[in-house]
Amino acid sequence: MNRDAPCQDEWSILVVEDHPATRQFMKLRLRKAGYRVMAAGDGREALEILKHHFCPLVITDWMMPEMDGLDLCRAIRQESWEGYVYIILITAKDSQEDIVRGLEAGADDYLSKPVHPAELLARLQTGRRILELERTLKERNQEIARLSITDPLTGIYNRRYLNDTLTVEVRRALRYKRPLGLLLCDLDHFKRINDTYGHNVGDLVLKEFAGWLQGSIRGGIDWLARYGGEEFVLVLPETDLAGSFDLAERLRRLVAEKVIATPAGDITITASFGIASFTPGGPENHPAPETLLNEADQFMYQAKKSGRNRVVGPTGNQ
Amino acid sequence: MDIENTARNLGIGRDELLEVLEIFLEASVADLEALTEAVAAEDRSRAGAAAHSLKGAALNLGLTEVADLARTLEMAAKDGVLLGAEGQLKDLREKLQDLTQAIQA
Repeated sequence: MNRDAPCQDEWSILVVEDHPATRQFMKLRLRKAGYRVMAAGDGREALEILKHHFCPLVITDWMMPEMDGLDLCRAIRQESWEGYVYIILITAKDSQEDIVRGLEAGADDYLSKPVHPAELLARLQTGRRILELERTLKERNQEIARLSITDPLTGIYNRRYLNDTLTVEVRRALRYKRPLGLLLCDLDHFKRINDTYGHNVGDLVLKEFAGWLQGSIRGGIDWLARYGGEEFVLVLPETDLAGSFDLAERLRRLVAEKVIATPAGDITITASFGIASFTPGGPENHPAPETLLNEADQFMYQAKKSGRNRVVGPTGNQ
Repeated sequence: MDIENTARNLGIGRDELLEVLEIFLEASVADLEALTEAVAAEDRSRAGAAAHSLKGAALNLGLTEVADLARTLEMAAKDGVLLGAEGQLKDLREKLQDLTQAIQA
């Protein structure tokens, strides 16, 4: 009668029970069913354990010394944990009024003593179903959040992220009086590539280009976003004007030297760079993100006009 | 008491059940002592708590006779009629002794 449902992932259960015999029995029985089991003698001990070893499943007795099961339910619900905690309350009380009190305190399910092992395992299965739903939902939300700030073609950040995060970077630079560099770069004659080789090759070129940029910046500090069709923005915290020029020039040379192998043959490209920079204490004391972008855009336009494949910034050409 | 059968019903091994019963009996000594003192002193809340503890564990381990006696004592404590409870206390002590012998066999 006690066929246990196989428990593939290791699920941790915290058993909270003041009677040592029941506690030991539950430990043995649940381990046999494939759970990882921890045990506590009352609510207070249970909270301590949870803080150090999170368990998504909690089975708790109601009547216990120190902190009883009802108070434990309330305490668990008051704190935020790394995931949902599914609580099964076990008790010899079984009046309707008691059941309502238990559920209102935050229990998800309710079992009366004596607890039949098969029933307890089935209830735990229900709990796991709910926890799995919660995990899937959380993963999906994270994925959606990631997608909403990612450019689908190149995998780098998109314009939405740029708009939101550039504001944060500018504010931080102002507050801590740190320099901030911004590069806007645009592929030269990209339309020709699309017209000559088709959009598939054009997409490939954009991906390669984005990959080179991504590979040349400081991970975790600098970041880059696709601004428009073939326009990219690099944001360089803690980088002054000279540093911004250095990087832009390095990137310009790298792009001009690389060869992209495409189904239509090898392609070489060049790019033009415009720089905007914020230096604390400088005359431009409160740059708005749009001001920085416009400034870089104007310099990029100058780079295009003066022959492309070059870097232009506030102090002149390089 | 049928150890094999109880173990099967609870879904644990025979040796595991013996281990759990040993722990139960150890705890029961304390519960029984508390009960005896509380009944003599007519301390209803202490008697009730000790009987409740014993009842819960006995129920979970399928020890129905022990659980029934503990429940009667818990009720008596609740209703304030501990005076006649010595008889039940004696029955309970005997049942626990039987159990001790059963697991030592």
